[in-house]
Amino acid sequence: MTLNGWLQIALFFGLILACTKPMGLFMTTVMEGRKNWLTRALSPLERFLYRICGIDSTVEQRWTQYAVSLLMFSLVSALLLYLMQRMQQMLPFNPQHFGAMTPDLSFNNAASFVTNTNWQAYTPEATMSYLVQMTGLTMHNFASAAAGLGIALALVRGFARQSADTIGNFWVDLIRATLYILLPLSIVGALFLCSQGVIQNLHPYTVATTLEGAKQTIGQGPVASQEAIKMIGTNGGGFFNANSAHPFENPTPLTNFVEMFFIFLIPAGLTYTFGKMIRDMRQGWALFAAMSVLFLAGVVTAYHFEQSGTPLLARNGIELAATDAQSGGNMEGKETRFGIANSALFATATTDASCGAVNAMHDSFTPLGGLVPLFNIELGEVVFGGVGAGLYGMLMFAILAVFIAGLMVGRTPEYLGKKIEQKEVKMAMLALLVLASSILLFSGTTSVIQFAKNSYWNAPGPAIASLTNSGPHGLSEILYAYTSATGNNGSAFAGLNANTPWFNITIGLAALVGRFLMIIPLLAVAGSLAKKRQVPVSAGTFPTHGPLFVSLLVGVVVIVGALTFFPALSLGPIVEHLLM
Amino acid sequence: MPTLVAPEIETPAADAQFLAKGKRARKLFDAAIVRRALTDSFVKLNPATLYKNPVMFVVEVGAAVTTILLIRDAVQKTSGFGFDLQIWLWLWFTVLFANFAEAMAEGRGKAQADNLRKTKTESMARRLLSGGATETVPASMLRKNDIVLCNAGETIPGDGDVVEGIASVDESVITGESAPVIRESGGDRSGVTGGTKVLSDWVKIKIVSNPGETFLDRMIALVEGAQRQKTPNEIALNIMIAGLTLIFLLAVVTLAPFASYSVTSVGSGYMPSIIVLVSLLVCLIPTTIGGLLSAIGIAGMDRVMQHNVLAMSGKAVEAAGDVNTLLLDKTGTITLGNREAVEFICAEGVSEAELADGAQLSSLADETPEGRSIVVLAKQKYGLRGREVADHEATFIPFSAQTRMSGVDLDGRRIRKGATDSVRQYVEHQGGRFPSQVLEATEKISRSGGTPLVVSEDSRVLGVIHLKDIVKGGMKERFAQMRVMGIRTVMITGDNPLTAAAIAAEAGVDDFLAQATPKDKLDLIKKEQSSGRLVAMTGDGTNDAPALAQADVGVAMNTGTMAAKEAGNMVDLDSNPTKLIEIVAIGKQLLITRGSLTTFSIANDVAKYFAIIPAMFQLTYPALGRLNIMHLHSPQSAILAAVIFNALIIIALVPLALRGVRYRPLSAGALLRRNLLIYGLGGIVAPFPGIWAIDRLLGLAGLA
Amino acid sequence: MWDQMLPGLRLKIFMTVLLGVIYPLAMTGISQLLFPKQANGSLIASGGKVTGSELIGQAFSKPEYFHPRPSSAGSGYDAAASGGSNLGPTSAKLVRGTTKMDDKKNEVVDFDGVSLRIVHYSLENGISYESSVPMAQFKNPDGSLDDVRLIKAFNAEKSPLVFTPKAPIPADAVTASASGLDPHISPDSAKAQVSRVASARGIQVEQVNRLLGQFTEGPDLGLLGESRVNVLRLNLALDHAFPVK
Repeated sequence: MTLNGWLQIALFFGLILACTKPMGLFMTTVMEGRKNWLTRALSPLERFLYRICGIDSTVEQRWTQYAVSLLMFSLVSALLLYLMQRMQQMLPFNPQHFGAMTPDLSFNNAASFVTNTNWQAYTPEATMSYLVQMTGLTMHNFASAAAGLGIALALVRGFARQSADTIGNFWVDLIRATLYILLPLSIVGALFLCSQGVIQNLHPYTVATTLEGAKQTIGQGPVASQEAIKMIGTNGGGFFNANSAHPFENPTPLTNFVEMFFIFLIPAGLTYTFGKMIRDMRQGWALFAAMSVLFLAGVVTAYHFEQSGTPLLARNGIELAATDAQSGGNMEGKETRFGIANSALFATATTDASCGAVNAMHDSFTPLGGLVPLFNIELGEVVFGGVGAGLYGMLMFAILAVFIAGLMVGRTPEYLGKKIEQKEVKMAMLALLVLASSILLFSGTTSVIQFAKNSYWNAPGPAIASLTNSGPHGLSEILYAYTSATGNNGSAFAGLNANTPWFNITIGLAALVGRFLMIIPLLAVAGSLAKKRQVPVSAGTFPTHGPLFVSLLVGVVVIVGALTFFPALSLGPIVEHLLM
Repeated sequence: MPTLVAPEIETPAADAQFLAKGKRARKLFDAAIVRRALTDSFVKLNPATLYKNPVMFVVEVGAAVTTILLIRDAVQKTSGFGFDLQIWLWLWFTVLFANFAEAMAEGRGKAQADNLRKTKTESMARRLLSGGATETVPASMLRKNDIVLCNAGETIPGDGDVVEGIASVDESVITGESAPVIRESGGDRSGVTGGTKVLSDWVKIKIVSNPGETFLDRMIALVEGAQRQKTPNEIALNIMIAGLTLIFLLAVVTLAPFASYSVTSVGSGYMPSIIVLVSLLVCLIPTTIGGLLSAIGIAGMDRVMQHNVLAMSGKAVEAAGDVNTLLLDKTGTITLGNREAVEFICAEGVSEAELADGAQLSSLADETPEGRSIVVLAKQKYGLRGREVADHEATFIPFSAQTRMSGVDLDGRRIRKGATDSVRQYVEHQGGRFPSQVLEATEKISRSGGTPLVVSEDSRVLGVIHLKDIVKGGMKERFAQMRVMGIRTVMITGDNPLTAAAIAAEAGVDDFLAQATPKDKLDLIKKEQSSGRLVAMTGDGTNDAPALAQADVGVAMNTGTMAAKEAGNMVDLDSNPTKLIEIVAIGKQLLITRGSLTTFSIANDVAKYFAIIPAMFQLTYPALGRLNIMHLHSPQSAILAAVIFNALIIIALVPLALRGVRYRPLSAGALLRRNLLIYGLGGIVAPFPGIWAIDRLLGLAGLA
Repeated sequence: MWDQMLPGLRLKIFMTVLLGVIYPLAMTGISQLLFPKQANGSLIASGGKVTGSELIGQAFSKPEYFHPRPSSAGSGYDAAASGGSNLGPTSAKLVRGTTKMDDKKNEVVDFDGVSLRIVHYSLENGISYESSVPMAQFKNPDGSLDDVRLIKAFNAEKSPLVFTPKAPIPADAVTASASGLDPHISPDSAKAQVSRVASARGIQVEQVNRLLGQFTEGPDLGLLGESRVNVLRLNLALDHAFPVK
């Protein structure tokens, strides 16, 4: 671990901290529909979209209507994406003449991109046409992120409002988030990335003759435009298989830094938006603080274990300590230009958020270094989290934390002046239960299921034959797959060959469950909270802005996650570490 | 320690006192109750009733599964029978312990109900017929609006209001207080309760409740828990622990395939047996809080009862903990009921002795507490003894609404005392002059919250008596604590705003409502509620009924009218308005106990993982032994120790659940920090030595 | 409920046009205008023929070239199949390698493994070492190493081969990158190869060192990322300055 490494982590965190307020303020302005510096340029387009889609932007929705709109939009989107993949051989922008994708893979992709998961069971550069990449994936990168942002806002409105029936309008939230926040950032981001070497073209793949005379086929495509929104919308689905480790997606440490910055930019800003909307900035900063603690703990752990490498590597005579002229540590599956510090930082950030882009192969991380991304997702990706998803996830934990501990001050627990009662607790527990059951049941089944000869689902024999690694690390690969899908992350312990109907369908289902069965209860909470009156703050009110609450929240997040997943983790990364 | 000082609940010694204060206080482990609870623990094993408690139901199912497996083992004579037998035993103990806790809490209520039931003998009533004649009918035949006549020595047949007559009534059945009370028609002392006894005189009573719905019936039902409905917070908490139970069920059930994968992959060791998996499950699910939750609720109600307060629902007790605003009647709650003379201020040219003499003379026949306090003050300050006025030719002038003065004509002296205006008029009418210095003095007294009484002799003003409301000792501290707890206190008084402000300042309440009418009171409650606050109040009169009904916590005085008692959701049998403050503390204590034990229960799991997980996979992954940080000596003893600890902690916490976590009036932040430290951090740490010690004992005893 | 379908469908279509067509095409247009080189893959062409991309690593095995890191992309530096090995660091396969039977029933290398890479790296670059079995025993008649036997020796249950280089091996030199297309190696790894390259080209070590110095990049902005050497660019410069006869 080097000073330089720590400085980069500090710089990254510092920059996020500095941008939280301006970003949060801007998002508040946009989402409340107030005039901002982009209004003049974009409001005609906004109004055009309302008109053409038949949306009355002045009418707000109850939580049920909001949920229905979200579901309908997702359903339509998923169907179209599915069809597009099935018919890509008939559509334009397919210079490599890729054929139709299989039904199960198409389902998996449709589920995965609609839910902001962006899991990739395939090698995109060998499977998917430019058209599908652009109109299917890039478009969903925007839409799923904008939807997440809307849902978070809806929940915040639930806290901010009193005796209200409605929590906002899904269509308006979706359009505003896309037009004013995601699109402008993506344009700037895409052009910057391109200037640094990220490709942006529609050419067929280039065939080069190497210096030693071999042929090398170099993938091409409209990468920068997808790369920008992939990070900004915490989507993470790469244009290439190697994702942000691919030099065409992430050519330099500078682009790497910017991409990491993009992951946290909106989620961090949302904590400020939250504070602003409930008119108590301290509450927003408290969430920010709790997230920061968890983030920094993750980075330090991952950085430490990746730099320490493994005794096996050391015994073989590999340099593990970093020097100026080589990065040392566990370099398997890491890029030279990023080294250990940036790989650990990226892995932490991408799984804190529901991004899932990777600049190093998580599967090749050390057991505990790899536990960090895995556990981050298992915590519900509430550390800044996905666009919107991080905030609503953290608010769900805040509700639970307040409920458990709030009783200890001798009052019906309340958060932000809203009493936390049956309905809130029920819905928060439901969300938690959905998360746990999807991860554990799918992983459990996969680790023992056997397939018969000629089974549609998978190659004959056990499902675990798809694993690259055996023993505890193999179990980690399974766990990671379903954790990532349920958490809508999309990163992988990529040793799992998941492009079979069994994996495609179960992972697709996990993504759908993890997204919608989490969102709907939370929208119900939003609806229920909006109806309530605000209890005025007094000395008897459990203060939810000080260090005490921050530590409580961190404690609840970690303990709930640890208690749920410790048995599984103990047979995966933990025992792998002890065996090392 | 003064009776009304709050710090009673601050120290352990005072804690006991706090409890002992209740007239119905019982020993925590009364032999009879324990005996009954022991049998009930087994009765409660019935799955048809246990399923309502999801956590303990899961334990019971686990125990039942273990039973079947144990029988199979016994038949097949497999090894490890001793271990399985012990697990089996302790799993059933876990359920029994939880049942015992609930039975204990219920038993205390039942004992009380039995006492009440004994007094509820079938009595005969004399119902008045329209013609004025009476007929004798059994009390159970009485219906609402019947009028009955009760003579001395008779038991009042049902709840009602006195419509005619006055009588002394023995209400010890209800209140536990043996001194008789006066019940009379009209006013706020008209309510009578069925089952109480008329000691002297007679009353005519209008019955207000149908049989089976009487106060006594409800009281019995309440304490017996028949009507015990789960309170909102309890339901929410139940949902949470049921949810956690499901999550742990998932974690344990899916551990089987993960273990199978691991065993196959490593090629050594065995799958953990079902008994071991059940043990892990039982250790993880929140059995501590699951087992004690209903006991905590019942005990909370019981604690209210021990303070001689009848809460009509658990919800009301819980709401008391949530109260933001307390409306307190000035008289009787904040101040001693009566004003007291504290000072004589002489007019110019009048000696103090002269004034004191005049004041005393004018008050000799004044039997009001104020009057008596004037006599006492004169005696104390100037050694003036009360004189036998009969020796003189004295004519006492009683207070009248017209003159607004009272006094005495004695040996030709006409001594009067009264309100400033009245005396002024009286003096000036006789050609006297009202000195401006006296006027100033009266104004000063008014401003300070006192009441000035001007004393005059003939046309001469002697001076002013300063009557003062005496704020009860310790109230200021108590209200300061309330403030710390975030509760706003509002004093309700009929006084003018000036007086009210001064008393409010002296008592240290946050706000006051002066010249309050019942409607003002109701409006204030509505206003507070509309801004999201919960309001508690006490009241006794019929005109308080709407406000009592409106308030979130309305405590009616037992001396009050039936209407008031019906309207409120609690009745204070001691009719002590100050008790509202204690009720709030009990409500808070109830919630704190639940929260603390929940936190403790969940925090406990950390240690159990460290005990059980390495033990389960000792053969497959010996490396996991490094997680055995307690150095438990064998896998069997580790699992057993965790299960035993899990069962014993329920029993160990029964007293805490029944007594409640000690409540301190602190700010929410301070309270949270404290409880998080004790029950959160303590919950994580405590099981480590506990499980370690049990493991050692098991080793020493050769049990595992 | 279904009344929400229509706005959903319409919005989906218009967003697809806006975000899926107009946005990427506009970005493509602007990028091609402003950053044509970068947008098209930072390609290096000589004499009208593309030799590769500055950003994409390519395979080098000849002694006169600096060698890149091991690659798991396809059969090595396959720029149409990026990816890493995805082996866990505790994986025996990663460390000791595996062999397999090919179609002709000959035993061949399945995965080379870190241990074997260390052997190659040490021997190629003249790093002294200690070995439990003399390396000569693993030599083929043509002097090359018998990788299959080495892998089997590393995997032997009884007294496996222990090979310990005397100088620490840079971690990146014997591990595969995440993309399999890592264009860089660490300066330390390059330094270790200098004498081999120099002797293969018949030039002075100093000359190679000078060139290496020119092509060693520090962290971006002096802070971000690691020091590194772009292998393709360095090799191109070598060919340019010191062509192999």
